[in-house]
Amino acid sequence: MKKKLVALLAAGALVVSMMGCGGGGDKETASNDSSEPTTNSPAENTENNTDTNSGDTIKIGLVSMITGDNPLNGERMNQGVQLAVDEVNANGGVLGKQVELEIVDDQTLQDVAVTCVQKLAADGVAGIIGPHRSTNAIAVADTVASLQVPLLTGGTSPSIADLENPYLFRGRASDSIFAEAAADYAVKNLGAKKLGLFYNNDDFGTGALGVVQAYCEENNIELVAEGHNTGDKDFTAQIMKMQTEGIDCALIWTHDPELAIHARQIYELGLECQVVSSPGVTMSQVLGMVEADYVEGWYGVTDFVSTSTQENVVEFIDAFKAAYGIEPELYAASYYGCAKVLLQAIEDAGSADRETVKEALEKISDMTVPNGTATCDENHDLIHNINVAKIENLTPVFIESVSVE
Amino acid sequence: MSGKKRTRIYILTAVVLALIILLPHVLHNDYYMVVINRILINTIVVLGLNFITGLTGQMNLGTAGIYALGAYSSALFVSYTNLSPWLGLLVAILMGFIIGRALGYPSLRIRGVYLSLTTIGFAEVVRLLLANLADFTGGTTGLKNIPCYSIFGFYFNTQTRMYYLFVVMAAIAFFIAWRIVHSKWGRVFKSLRDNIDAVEMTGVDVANMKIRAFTIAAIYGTIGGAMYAHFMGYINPSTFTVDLSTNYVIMLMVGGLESVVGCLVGSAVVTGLPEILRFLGDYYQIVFNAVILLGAIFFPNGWLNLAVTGVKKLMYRMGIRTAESGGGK
Amino acid sequence: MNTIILQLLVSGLAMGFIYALVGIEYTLIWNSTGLLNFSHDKLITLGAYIFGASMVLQYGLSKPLAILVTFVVMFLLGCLVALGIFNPLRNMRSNIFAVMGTIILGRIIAEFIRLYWGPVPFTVPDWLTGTFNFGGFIVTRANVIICGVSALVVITLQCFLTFTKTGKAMRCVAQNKKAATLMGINVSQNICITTGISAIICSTIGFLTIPLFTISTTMAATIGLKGFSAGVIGGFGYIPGVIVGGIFIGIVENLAVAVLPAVYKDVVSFALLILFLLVKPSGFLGKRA
Repeated sequence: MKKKLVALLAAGALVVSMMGCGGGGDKETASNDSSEPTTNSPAENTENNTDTNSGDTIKIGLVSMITGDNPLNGERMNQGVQLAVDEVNANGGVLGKQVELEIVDDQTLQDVAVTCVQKLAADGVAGIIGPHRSTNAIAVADTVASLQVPLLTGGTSPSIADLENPYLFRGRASDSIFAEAAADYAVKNLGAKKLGLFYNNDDFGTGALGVVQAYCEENNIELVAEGHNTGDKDFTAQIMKMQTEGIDCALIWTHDPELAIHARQIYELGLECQVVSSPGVTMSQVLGMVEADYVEGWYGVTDFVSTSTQENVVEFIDAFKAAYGIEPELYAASYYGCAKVLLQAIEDAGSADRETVKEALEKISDMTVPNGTATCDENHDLIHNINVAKIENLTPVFIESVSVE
Repeated sequence: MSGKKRTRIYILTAVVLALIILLPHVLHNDYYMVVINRILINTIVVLGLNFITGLTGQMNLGTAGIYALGAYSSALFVSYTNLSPWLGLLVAILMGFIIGRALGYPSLRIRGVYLSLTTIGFAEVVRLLLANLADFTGGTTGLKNIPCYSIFGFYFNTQTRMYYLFVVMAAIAFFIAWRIVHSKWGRVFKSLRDNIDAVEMTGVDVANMKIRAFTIAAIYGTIGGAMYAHFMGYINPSTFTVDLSTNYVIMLMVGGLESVVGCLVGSAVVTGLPEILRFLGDYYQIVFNAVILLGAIFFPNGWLNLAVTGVKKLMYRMGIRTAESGGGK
Repeated sequence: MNTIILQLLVSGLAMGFIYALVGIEYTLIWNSTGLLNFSHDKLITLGAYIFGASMVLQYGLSKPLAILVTFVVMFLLGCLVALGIFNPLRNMRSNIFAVMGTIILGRIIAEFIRLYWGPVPFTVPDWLTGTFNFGGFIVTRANVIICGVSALVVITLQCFLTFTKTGKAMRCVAQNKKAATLMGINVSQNICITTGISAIICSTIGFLTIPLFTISTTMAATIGLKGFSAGVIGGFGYIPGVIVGGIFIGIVENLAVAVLPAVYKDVVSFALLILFLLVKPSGFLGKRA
């Protein structure tokens, strides 16, 4: 009797599972035709795609880095995006609906970032902002394509454009623009004959290294490049090498803590040269870590200068100060811009359907955001201009706007 | 074994099987599937770690290095040769064999804290080399476009398909680990931890057994790494930090040392609980860690043991079961 | 070229002293409990935050007073860690529990710092900044002070261990816990005091590194691990050995970048660690393997 029961149960389970598999199978074959099968990209998950329109609100998602090794970055991202959403909601929302923001933390880890994107997609967001780290953006690229959800990242690595991912957009200028502008400014405006590049040996710094190397070869400029790792605390060796080489202008391409240490040690060891730095130096968090003498007269290339007098930037800065009581910096500004662009695209699309939002994003052009003018090009890059700022008494002063290409 | 009990086991197996097969169609949500896939991969790594840290009692804090080498050896092999990822898996297993030997020999001379530090050093050197040998490994930009597993033109390219593949792989790994733990080897491993001199006295080749434990562990670790590479499609050295290594030991600890089922429970708790706690917003990480720490202090035998004891007590009280009847590990 | 070598030597020496202090701080705990405190880098960070963020910038205390208050707070915290983690976990069937306990504690401290003080990195203005110039050869004030204070800490600690009753008891416990118990020494209480002292040294490292590293949630991440290398190279569990090891690592890794690309600096210290463990596990001055 019991044995029969077991057999029955097992058979039942088998039948049900076959049905389940069969159902899945139909979908899979349907989606397989359109996609190249060798990578992880093809789609299955279309059933979650429809519920973005339902309900009284429109949801957008933010993959932020709240915990992990760069929490400040995440906090500013949250504040910028939240401000944009609040502003839009105060003005009646998008398509007559209120916008709901869902923030998830990726712990600055790649597999968690993929999980976060899946979670947001399952929760029915119309589009995703973040993750910020280029490496995490690359990690989620396949997932984004398979879920067919548009994603705006602020990762600046040139390798993101190489992915040619149809759903990946970028709300900040590529590093190839940043680094080239920095080298160009050093050579053309500061008259550098021999460049020194201090680069962080990660995706961010090595990207710049490639760009600067190419630039120097093209223009016959001598280049000395010295790398360091994230977390290094002492750059005596690199600075002394630069000194012996006799460089007349230093480019520094690294993250905030390392940048602050470079500033101090270059000052202390008396390396006499002009300095053009990655965007960090124009931000309050780096300027808060150094004494005024260290960075006096430094130049920084950045997407956002907090002392700009442009009308929309001033408006943004005032709104940000009113909301959070602090000055915004470039992360807050860029992600505020990203959110504004995404919401505009939803408005343009006329629906929160992901595919239409993606198409609307591709059509974005000449939209003014705090970090420039957003126009989507064939690489899905939105921002093409950057600013050069000079540090005077711990305040970044806008010098000029550069646009490449 | 009575016929009654046998039937009960059959029913249990059928139900578990049906659950495993039906899971993706019940959940119908790729977010859960990603988390479950990560749990399955982590389970395989922790099953391996259990042999070194759980059974032979040697603190290995270098799992991230083993995992990284597994991921990179498979991914690099596949991207340079354009051959099947299954061959990449074989390369990863070979790599695991080599690592096991290379780490096993030092473990003969150094014990306890020295071994922990060696393994940390090993993992850090691996990570830094992967990041700095950019021409070969892709450096800090990482390695993109790693293909997924496939069988005869069928591609495991969605979370649900990968789930079925990973369930099978994890089940095989689980079964083998179970057999080893409950075999003569398993008993020798445990005695290496409890009283190494006594083992030597009985004529067991201690050196050989220790290296064997390390090799099994490293192979499990590299298999997990290879699966991770083909699951993510993209790998980057910044993933493989000391933090990752300690995560695996935490999984082991949460599951309860030396228990094979515990490895699954531990990896599920440590991977899944932060996801469940996300509703706490800013505080979810601190709450998660506090829960784990209190668990370590008050339930040192692992959460599985706690649950099993609790259920047994409950059943005993309800009169369903007598205190003597089996179950457990 | 000579100035470069000299310059590297000086900054290497300063980093070496920091590693040596890290080594001392965990060796104290290792000797009294037989466990490694993997949360030590977070305790260093916490010390810097209590001193910089709360005492100096928030309450505006004068710096010596701020240091004193931080010492008291950190000592109490150290005792708490001993009561909460080391004492309950050290007698478990595997020392994995205690080691993992300290690692999880470190994560909790890191999250606490982020939630309580916020994620913005900062520095304490006019704290140990400035340089000395010896005819073109530049030494920063911070480096000189690091060397001086480290030497002072070492001497004070040695005096404490040799001449006070508590210090003697600590050495007793380090040598043989069972015998110490039989002699009427309260081992648990002893571990409390040791952990407290270790926490004080942690906060000292925190103050000293503020001008070099600035205060951020990840400021002590690398020195924590390199402190372990220092211990192994000098002789594990032996304080003079740890000091030698720390200075050795500091200087060698800095000189190595004169030959190797600078990105391999971290590889050098870990490669040395593995080499010593394989070839001479007892280190320079250690007594046993």
